[in-house]
Order: sequence, then structure tokens, then C-alpha cells
Amino acid sequence: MRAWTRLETVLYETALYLYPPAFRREFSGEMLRDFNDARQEPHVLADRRQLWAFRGRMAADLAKSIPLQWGRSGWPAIVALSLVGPLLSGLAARTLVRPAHFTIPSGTDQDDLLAMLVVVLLMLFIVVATIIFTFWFTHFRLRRRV
Amino acid sequence: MPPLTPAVVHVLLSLAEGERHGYAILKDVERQTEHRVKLGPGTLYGTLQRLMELGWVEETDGPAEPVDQRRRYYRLTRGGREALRAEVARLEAVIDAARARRIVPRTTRG
Repeated sequence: MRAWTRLETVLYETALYLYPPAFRREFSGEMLRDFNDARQEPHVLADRRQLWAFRGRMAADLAKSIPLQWGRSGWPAIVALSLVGPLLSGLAARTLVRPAHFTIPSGTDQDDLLAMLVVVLLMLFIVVATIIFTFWFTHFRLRRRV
Repeated sequence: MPPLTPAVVHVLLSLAEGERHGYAILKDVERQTEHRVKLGPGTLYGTLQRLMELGWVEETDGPAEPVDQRRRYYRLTRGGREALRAEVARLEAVIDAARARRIVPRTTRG
């Protein structure tokens, strides 16, 4: 029985890593302590049905609160906004390049160079967009909190 | 102000009696609702985080001689008390409307 309890604690502790880092840093210690206290309640230890009900409740709580916390963390918006910039630039470049009849140089070396340039530019764009949107979003959230 | 979620109302009600740590809030919510509502740690701390962001709940140092020193204690702020009062008034209005339409009987409470 004690081995099961330890296993449950380890599983719950591992599941806590699924929360966004900020939330985990703030509350995971308390959550684990509460989980262990609740697991040791006499009515939970009393019979197997109660124990399974407790496990089900904890699993449901994790399943409900993890996506909720990720949604609140702002990461989905940051990722979406970071992708919008490169996508729009790509579309704009495609529209501009087509009428100009831009021809890719025929030499193999130049092809590689061009491909590398495009990749580097795209990566730079993603990094800059991520920094800008993270900064903007953090400020936006802080202002909203006040 | 939009209606509060049941979890928020129960947490605010629990803290209205004084400062408590997370597990004490969980137990108190169970008692309040006669075991009909059982909050999990994820829901509780998500709610507490939101309430602290709103300035309705704040963390305290806890009692002078806490039972468990590792625990973090929370208490209701004046804003939180006002929000709870407004929500209770809203719920009362809903119950009054339901009574006027004879959806629930007009009971007298002792």
C-alpha cells in the first residue's frame, strides 16, 4: 500500500511539470502537499471505492486545470502572433516576387547561398517577432492586472 | 461585474472567515457544500492566482504560531469582500425572482 502511495505521489509530481513554468514555480509545492494530505484522509484510506474516486477527482482536476493554465499563460497568443509575422511576410514576398520574375541563380553554390539566406532571414524574423510579442504581451497582461 | 464562478464564490466565502492555507480552503469548501463541491488543487490554486491578480485575495505571513510553517496563507482583501457581497446580492435577487415565479417555495429560515 505504501508503495502505491509513493507511486501516486511521483505520478502527481510528474504531472505538475505539465503546468506552465510560472504557475508551477508558484504553486506546485503547495499542490503536492495538498495532494498528499488529501491522500492520507481517513475516508480515502477507508475503502477502495473512495480511493478510486479520489484518483479520478485528481486526474479530472489535472485534465481541466492544465489546459486552462496554459490558456491563461499567454503562450498560445504569443506563438500565434509570432507566426503571423513570418506568414504575412512570406505571402507579401510571394506577391511581390512573382511580377518581378525573380529568377533563382542556376549555379548550385548560389542556390545553397540563397536558401541559407532565406532560412537565416526567416529565423531572425521569428526571433525578433517572438521578442517583440513577448514584451508586448507581458506589458499588456500587467496593465490588465492593474 | 459578471457573475462569479462557483469555485470563486466558495473560495471567497471560505476566506471571509479569516486567513487560511490552501488545504484548509479545500476542506472548508467541502464542509460548506456538504461534500457536493470538491475542489482539486489545480482548480484551487488557479482560482487563488486569479483572485490575487484581481486584488481580491492576498498572501499573508500566516498565524503567529502556524501548525505547518511550510504552508502559505491567504486572506480576503476589502475588494474581495465587496465582490463577494455583490455576488451574494446578485444570487439573492435570482432567488427572489425564482420565488416570485413559484419555482422555489417561499421558505422561512430560522
